[in-house]
Amino acid sequence: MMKDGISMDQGLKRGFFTPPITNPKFDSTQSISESYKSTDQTLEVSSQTSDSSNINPDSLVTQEDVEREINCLRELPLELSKLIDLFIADLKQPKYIKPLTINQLSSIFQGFYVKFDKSCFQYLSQLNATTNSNSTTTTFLTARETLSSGLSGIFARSRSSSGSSIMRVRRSSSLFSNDSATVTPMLTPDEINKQLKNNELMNLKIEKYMEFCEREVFKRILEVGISVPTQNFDVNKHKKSHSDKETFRVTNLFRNSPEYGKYNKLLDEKFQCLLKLETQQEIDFKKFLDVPESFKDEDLPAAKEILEDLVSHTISPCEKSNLLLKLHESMIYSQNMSNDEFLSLLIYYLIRITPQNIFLTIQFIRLFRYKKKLVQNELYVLTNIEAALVFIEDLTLSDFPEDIQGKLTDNEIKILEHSISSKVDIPQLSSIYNNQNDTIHEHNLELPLANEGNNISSYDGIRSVFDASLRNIIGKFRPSSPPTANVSREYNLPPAVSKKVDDESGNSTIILKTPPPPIPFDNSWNKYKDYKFEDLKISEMREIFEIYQKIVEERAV
Amino acid sequence: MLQFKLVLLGDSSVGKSSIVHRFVKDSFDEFRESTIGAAFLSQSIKLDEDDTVIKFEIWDTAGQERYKSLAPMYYRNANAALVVYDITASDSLSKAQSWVEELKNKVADDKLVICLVGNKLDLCQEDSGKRSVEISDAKQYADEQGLLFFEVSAKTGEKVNDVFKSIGESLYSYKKEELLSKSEQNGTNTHGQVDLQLQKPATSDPTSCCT
Repeated sequence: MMKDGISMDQGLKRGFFTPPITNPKFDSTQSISESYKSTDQTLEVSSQTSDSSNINPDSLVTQEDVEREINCLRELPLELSKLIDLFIADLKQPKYIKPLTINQLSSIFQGFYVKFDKSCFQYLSQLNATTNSNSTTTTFLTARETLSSGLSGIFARSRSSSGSSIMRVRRSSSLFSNDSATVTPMLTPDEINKQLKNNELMNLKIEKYMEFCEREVFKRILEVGISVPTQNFDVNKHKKSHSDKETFRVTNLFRNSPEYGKYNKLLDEKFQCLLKLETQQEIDFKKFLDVPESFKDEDLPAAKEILEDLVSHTISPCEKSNLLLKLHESMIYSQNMSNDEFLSLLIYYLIRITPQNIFLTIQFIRLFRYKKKLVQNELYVLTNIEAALVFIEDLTLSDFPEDIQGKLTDNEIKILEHSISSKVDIPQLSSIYNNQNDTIHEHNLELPLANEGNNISSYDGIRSVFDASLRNIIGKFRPSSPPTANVSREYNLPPAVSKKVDDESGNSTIILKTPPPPIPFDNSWNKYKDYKFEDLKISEMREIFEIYQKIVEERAV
Repeated sequence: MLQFKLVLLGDSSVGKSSIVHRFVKDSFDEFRESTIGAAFLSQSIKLDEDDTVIKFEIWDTAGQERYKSLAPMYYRNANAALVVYDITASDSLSKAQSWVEELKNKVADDKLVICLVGNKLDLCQEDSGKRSVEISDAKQYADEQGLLFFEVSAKTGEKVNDVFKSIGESLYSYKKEELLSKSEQNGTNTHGQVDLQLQKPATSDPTSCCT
């Protein structure tokens, strides 16, 4: 289509990449991610009103537009917030054969973000298309009438007096509508600009909706308890999370990945120890870290407040990420500050303030912030604080002057003797920090659905889940057939449930896996009686499950 | 617009941040974007060829020796690296060389553009006795290793823009090759706007799972 050709050409130069959704040539996943690139700055700029000289004059969207269209958004439209309901409900389905690790949980969230992102785009496109079809069938004048009736009409009217062509705003949005061919076949540069502007605004809206989404998801989790699917079997912990509603306990999310908790604890311990050395003036960390001379102790309370908000008074990853940006901004003493100063100062802040659970909080941002938005300066400040934490965990006695050793207690020596990473191994971390090749990391993200589960170390988890989930059913037929019930209890079995993550409508659907060809049911039911659970292959587990189903069926008759 | 991540490596005293600061300051306001001090900057330039706009995301690293082991966290997924030394300090070239070696060993991407930059040219122009690293030595090393090479002055701004322009050109030529080979693979996609989709965001995390 000619029109699309022209506008895409323009888009190319402007870094605007969102294609018409109707064009089958585009990979929409990719295109949506790209479309944010140029708008990132616009929003950053809008949040830094103090520094208005930074505004990119290339942008068609003015401060005024942002104020009118974006900042007034307060909540998600009903259609979109329903998706979050579905997601939360879906999380609560006990459909995994073992408790999810934090990385698996993260990949589920990331998958949801992508779907939500698409849905926002579709939602707004439809909204545009609807308003569009009204205006295209009417004359220019009536279109103007229609416009004037809405809130936006007020703006249009006030602006039209200054010669602006804003009244055409609806028509120009037809880039996304199906009836665009019925408009004019060629667009004037002015109209192209309008379209671009509209799309830019749309991207900003999607961005805002994504922020709402992150906040909403974790707020709901806070309300309903922790999202880890095992909670149905873990009533005690569930109740506990209800009792401390006020602060979001990031630790709860990580409890199925105990290595993170251990690492976090050791790091907190180390911070306490370093703080003690600092306050007792046994180590002068200002000197040790080359803290810039411009730093004054009076600056600490402000940083402390930000860090405390970061770990305990914010819920969503994007809020936390913004606080990291704020922290860095608060550290700028001059425009020439390089990372030599930032990193030293950041480490020094962390030692002086010792925010609890900082490691888990940072990991939480890394894992649960929408990955497509975790770019540029947001990614940079996150990397910076991660680097600071790695520096601390790696700090050992050998880094300090030798005469310090005599002044330390045994416990302090124990804490400072080895790096934390030598005590607790978090493979995902080392791949983030050192490995350019991320295939290993991705491999870990596979979900433990029915066809996966060779990880011996987590069999205990599987067992407890299945013990609990089977107990109900087994309890029912136990009185009539004690031997069978025992057999079933001995072999813990996976349910043949599979999850289809992504379908066209953007909703997640749970599909029962097509059962494999039935095996002849004779005396094979006791064929596995001498096996250990750890030795079972997936296929054997499936077979056992089928036997189990047969037994249930038979008993039911 | 093509977007690339560029990481700055070099000792604290060689003035790597001032090079970037000079670059950003001298560039047209039109393309000025967000900064965190001089530690994170994003700045676009326009290449002569095809009027292409290249956006650099510039990541500074802490130059102190004790932070050396943290550098991989910063140069991860970088498209280009600026390795800076001080032409008035004799040992600074060897330190820069160790950065180059580390990058070559640890970064799997063979398309990583490395640019060796000797800073403080202005000092040597005032007083030629101050020069401690011969331009021929550095140039020879750069040629052997296949690096871009410049001597610049962050103070006067001499050659600073050339550094970024030539990095941008190298990145663009790699990108064009990539696009060409891709479009040869599926011959139908010959329109410019389709090619755009092949450009990945420079800092997108490859661990993201978008099934």
